[in-house]
Amino acid sequence: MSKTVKVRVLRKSFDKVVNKEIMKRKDFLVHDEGEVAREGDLVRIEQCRKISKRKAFSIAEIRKNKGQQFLSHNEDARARVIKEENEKTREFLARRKNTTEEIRNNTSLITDLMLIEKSTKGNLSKEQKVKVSQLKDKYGIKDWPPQKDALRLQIQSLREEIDDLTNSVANQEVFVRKLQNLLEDKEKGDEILTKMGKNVETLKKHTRKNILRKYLLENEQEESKKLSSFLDQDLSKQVEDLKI
Amino acid sequence: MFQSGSILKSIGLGRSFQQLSIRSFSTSSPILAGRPAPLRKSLRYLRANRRKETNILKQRKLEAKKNELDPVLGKKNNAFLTRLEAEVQEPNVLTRGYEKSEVEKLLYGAQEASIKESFASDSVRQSAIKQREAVFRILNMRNRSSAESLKFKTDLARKEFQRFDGDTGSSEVQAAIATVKIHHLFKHVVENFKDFKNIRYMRMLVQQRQKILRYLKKDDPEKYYWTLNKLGLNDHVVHMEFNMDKRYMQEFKWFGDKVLVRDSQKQKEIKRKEKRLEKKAIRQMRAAKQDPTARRF
Repeated sequence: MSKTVKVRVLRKSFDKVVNKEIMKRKDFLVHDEGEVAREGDLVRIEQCRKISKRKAFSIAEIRKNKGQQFLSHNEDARARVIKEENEKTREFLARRKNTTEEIRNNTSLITDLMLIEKSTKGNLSKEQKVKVSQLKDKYGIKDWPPQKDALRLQIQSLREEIDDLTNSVANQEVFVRKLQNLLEDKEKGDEILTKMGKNVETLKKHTRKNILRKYLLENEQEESKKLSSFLDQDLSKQVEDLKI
Repeated sequence: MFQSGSILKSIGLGRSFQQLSIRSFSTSSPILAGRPAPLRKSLRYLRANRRKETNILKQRKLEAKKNELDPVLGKKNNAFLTRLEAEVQEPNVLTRGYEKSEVEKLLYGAQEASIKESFASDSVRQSAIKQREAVFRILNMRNRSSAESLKFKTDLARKEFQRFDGDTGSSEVQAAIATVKIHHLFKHVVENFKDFKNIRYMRMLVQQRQKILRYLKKDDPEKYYWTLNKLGLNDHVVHMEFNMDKRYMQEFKWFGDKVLVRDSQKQKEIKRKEKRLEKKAIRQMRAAKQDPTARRF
């Protein structure tokens, strides 16, 4: 039946026996002139002239094109899955190649590590030295035995915290001393404030203090930036020197 | 009962014939004045019958195409499932969630520690090699039960389908795990066709998977179609009424050409009739192709 679709209409009706509303459904054969409806769409149908024995309605509008969406989802998913699967099988084959090579050469992590260990102790042939450097690159080993905490204990982190706190306290003390000096040195303070465009005479004592504090903080940040950039430059210069 | 049915039919037929004759008498003659004379009634009947037969054939073909896909195993040579199977058969796969590199690290650490203690490095190294081999033989997937390989496969499937790390409950994960289990059981059931307990369990899994996927379609259609394509299923298989019975097994040749369900005489007769009809329709279609201008009934 071309140009015909089956539409299910759901209606509520009150059932006297069970004493509540139940859903009743009826299927209609409906005319679809443009053949636009897909399975799963939500449609509105209208009465028309009798088209065939069971057809007296036609599709007036498609309210929700869910069926169309399902089809497009399916197409997208098919393409996506093919792509994903290709990638994953490629990964798997690469892994398999690696393992077969390992088995053929009879190598493992243990033999590799033993070779590296041997290199720290005694004489190795040239080939072995090359191999050791390759293995070090492979596992990311910089020194042997690797200096790394096997287990991070709470006491270590606490100690670090204490160090941080003492550092910050020392910094604060230095800053406070600087501010004190600036507040006591009236001439210098006035100079800074006039540079910033403030009227020195009308400023109250605590406002003056706050502005100067802010000025000092900003100044310090800039200084630290300058210092770090200077250090970087210095380092790059050193590297260049080394190359020469 | 049969009698009353036939009577009703005959009444219905009689009425329709009457209506036809009345209509043709009143309206058709003036309209059809310029056209060639209408065919005789018997010829018209034959023609309609032929059209009906070709239509039945067409419908049957469509239905067969719909039911081509295996509702239990899905598409053959599904990429995802074949990859899983290959992963398990790799030589270096260990059970119980052990990774080979991790175990090697541990063994190396143990070896070095014992060397430090005993000062006899050579003998320790010799025995360590034996130890290592023993450990890897014990843990290797090839020497373990099939239950453990199933666990490994389900774990891999879960990781591919999960929405977030450690997700074990989302619908696609459940469907994927059910599929892995079904494929695993299939091998066992084919070899042990009298293991009715596991066949029943497999049947339950298939229906459970259908239910989960039906829910997923409502919940997240995009994920649903992705899952279907990944597992090699389709929408029809999920929504059809399906019971994994012997007729299905026979149709999809689980046990080769073994006859599991014998047709009754009546069913045989019906099948023979269908075949005859099919042959006839094909013959007619061929004839129509050869000579489309000839007027046939």
